[in-house]
Amino acid sequence: MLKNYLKIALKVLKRNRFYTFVSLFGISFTLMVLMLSTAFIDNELGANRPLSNKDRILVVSGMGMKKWQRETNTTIDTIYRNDSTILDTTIIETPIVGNSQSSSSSQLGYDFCKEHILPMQSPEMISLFVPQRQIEVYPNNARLELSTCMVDANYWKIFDFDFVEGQPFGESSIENQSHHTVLTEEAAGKYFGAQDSYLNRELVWGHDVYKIVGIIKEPNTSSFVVQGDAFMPVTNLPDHALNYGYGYFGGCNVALLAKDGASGESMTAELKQIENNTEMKDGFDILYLWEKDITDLYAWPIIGSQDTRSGNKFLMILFGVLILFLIIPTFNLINLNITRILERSSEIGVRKAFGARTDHLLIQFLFENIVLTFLGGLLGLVFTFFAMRWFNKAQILEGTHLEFNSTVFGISLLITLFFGICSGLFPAWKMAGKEIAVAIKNSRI
Amino acid sequence: MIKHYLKMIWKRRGKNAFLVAELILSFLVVFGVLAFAMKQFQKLKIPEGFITENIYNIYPSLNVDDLDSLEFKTKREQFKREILALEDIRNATFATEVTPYGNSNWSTGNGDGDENGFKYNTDYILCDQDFTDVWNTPIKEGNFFKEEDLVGKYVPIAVNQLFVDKFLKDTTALGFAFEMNGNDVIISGIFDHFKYQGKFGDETPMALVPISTRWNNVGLLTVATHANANEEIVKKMYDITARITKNFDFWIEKVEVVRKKKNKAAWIPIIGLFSLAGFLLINISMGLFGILRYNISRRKPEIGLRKAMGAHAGHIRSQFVGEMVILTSLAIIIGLIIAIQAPLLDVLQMENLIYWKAIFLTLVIIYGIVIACSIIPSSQAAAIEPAVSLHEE
Repeated sequence: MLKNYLKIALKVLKRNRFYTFVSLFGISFTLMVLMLSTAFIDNELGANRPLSNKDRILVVSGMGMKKWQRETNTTIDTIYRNDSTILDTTIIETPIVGNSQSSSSSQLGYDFCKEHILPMQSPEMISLFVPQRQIEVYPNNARLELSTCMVDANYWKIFDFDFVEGQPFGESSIENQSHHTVLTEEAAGKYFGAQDSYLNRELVWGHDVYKIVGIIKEPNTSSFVVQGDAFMPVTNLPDHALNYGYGYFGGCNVALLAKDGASGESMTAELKQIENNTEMKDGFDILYLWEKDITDLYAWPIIGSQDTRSGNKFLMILFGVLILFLIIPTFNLINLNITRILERSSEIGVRKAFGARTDHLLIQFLFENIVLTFLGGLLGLVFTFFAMRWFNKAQILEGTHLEFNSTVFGISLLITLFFGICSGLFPAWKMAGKEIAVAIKNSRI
Repeated sequence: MIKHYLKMIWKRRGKNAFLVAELILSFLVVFGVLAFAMKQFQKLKIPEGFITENIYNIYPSLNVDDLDSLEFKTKREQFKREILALEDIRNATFATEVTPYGNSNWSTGNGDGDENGFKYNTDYILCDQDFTDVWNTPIKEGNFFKEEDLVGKYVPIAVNQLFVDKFLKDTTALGFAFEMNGNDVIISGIFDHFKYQGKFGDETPMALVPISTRWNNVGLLTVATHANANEEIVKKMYDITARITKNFDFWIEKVEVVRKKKNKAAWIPIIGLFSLAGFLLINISMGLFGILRYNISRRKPEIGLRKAMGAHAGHIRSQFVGEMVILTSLAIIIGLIIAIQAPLLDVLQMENLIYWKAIFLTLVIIYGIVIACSIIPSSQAAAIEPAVSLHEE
């Protein structure tokens, strides 16, 4: 039965080349864009290594401190004592809560994190890191720019990087301020030239020599939390880079990993408690910790702001745009299908006259359309491969590397099927329901 | 005539509904893309107001506890002096990290205004006297401050033309004194532009304020080299910075490279949107073409009959094109009703002129495509011989 349908479908497609070309053009490009978008979203925001624990991670990447405006009340008491008057002046400054006089925001201080964040109870694990510090090194006297991420031992447990060789540095390296480093494969290649193994080689940064203990595969996502060419123990940073000496500010970020199965809400609640219970300093009156998940962090520079979490809004906008993009080609295909299917009203009439049921016809037409869509999908897949290669090679977005994996393939397949059914259902249903007499009369056999 | 067309369209409403829906959506998409692109291109008209060739930014990490201390000042001056002593250096300036393409901005203002009713809110950069020379930003009125000007009661500052246009329309800007960040300042120079957030960035009011004794936290040395300087100069700057700051936790960047990165980031969405809209339009026009061609082959008897009754080829052609134009107009009216909500609700935050230009251009594109797609099939229709088509029937 299906074989028969397939035969008819291919014959029909061959018969009217113009429609087939127009349909295939529309389908393949639409599906290419959708596949590329799926690949993009999956690579950037999917739960892939090193972000396999993505849904359990909250990152506190910034904090704000505010001073309220002061209201000054001067009370003058006049006291008579020993026939002379003494003026007793008391000045009471009361903060007007809610009227901010000045506010500052930055990342978190190292000491603040040690004292207030690390003792937290609700997360399973807490990591403290200083992301994205630019440095330059001079291998063979040639200038090389590197981006460093200064991390602690837990960082490697929360983010499961793919180690090509070696392993991460541990707690003892952190405590001893060891000069150990983990490089990405690409950075190591740039520094040493292509080698089989980079392990135990030495990277010179200024006067310091860092021993390479591990080589990782470059992450596909551009999320700044896991981006960097070189990862080193955070304790190697000078104090002024960790604590700014003003308020509780500093250069640190914190990643919190929720307990297995637990939501981030308990961690958010505990952070709220820290906000309320921390003693203020440097004249500040209130403290805010801005925790975000990986998607929120991604949306932040695009639509978000420092103190709001806009990951969900971002995803909604993204899907809204994609659906809008899908609708126009779908309508176009529906229009084409309606006209194309009219050509076959004689066939429908004859088949109906010989007793074919409406749902059989419906399934047949739908099947034909799905065959067409899958042909388009196949073409789209080929286009996607080339587009991805070009995208990665031309470094359109730095740090973003597109890769085709099983998730992307599965979703692409679903999109193709969905597209085929959507664009074929209405015309097929309309045609299958035609009266025999009308169908036969209206056409030349 | 039009009434007649409308009647025919209504008779085929089932089929036309999807066509209209498709046209409405494409109108909205094309309008959206054009409005965004035109808004971005509008910004290109304002020059940036500085040069980027042969400029380097050094972000030193000056490890000093007290930023206001004399030690810090001496260190800073020694640093600049040694950099200037290098060969091929044109000039150098200390400034805050608010720098072209640098993603950070500092702004200040006086909220609801001072007692004289003067109200402002401006971005500002703290810098030394060589700033305008390094960036090649000419002062067009007055003078840029010099080290020796900083002794008076008022701190001399320079502002851009936008600052003047926005806040000091009715007075002479030069010599105007006001309070800024707790200091008494006076406008001693005016420059045209310093659009530091990129070619596609918005221009904001801008003030160049000297690093006075009270404001000392500068984190950036910008160095201009002569055009003939070679790449080795970076290594020399690196060595000096390392020696003076006594650490390696610093970073030198070439402004030209950062500029290219920033501009690329601005072009990506524009090119991406244009190619998407272009693809949708090609898709739609091919679809329209196919539908019309088929419709005409279906309506051959009707055409034959009309011709037999004495209709010219022109009549037939205008009937088919006319039907499409009316259908498109229907879609565009609905699309306009939706698109017009944007300025009413002020969601796009753009000038009205750009908005109307975008609508006009969208109309031209959509009508152009529809007419172009219907002309060939309707010419075919017009060429139908009545004898042939009636015989077929």
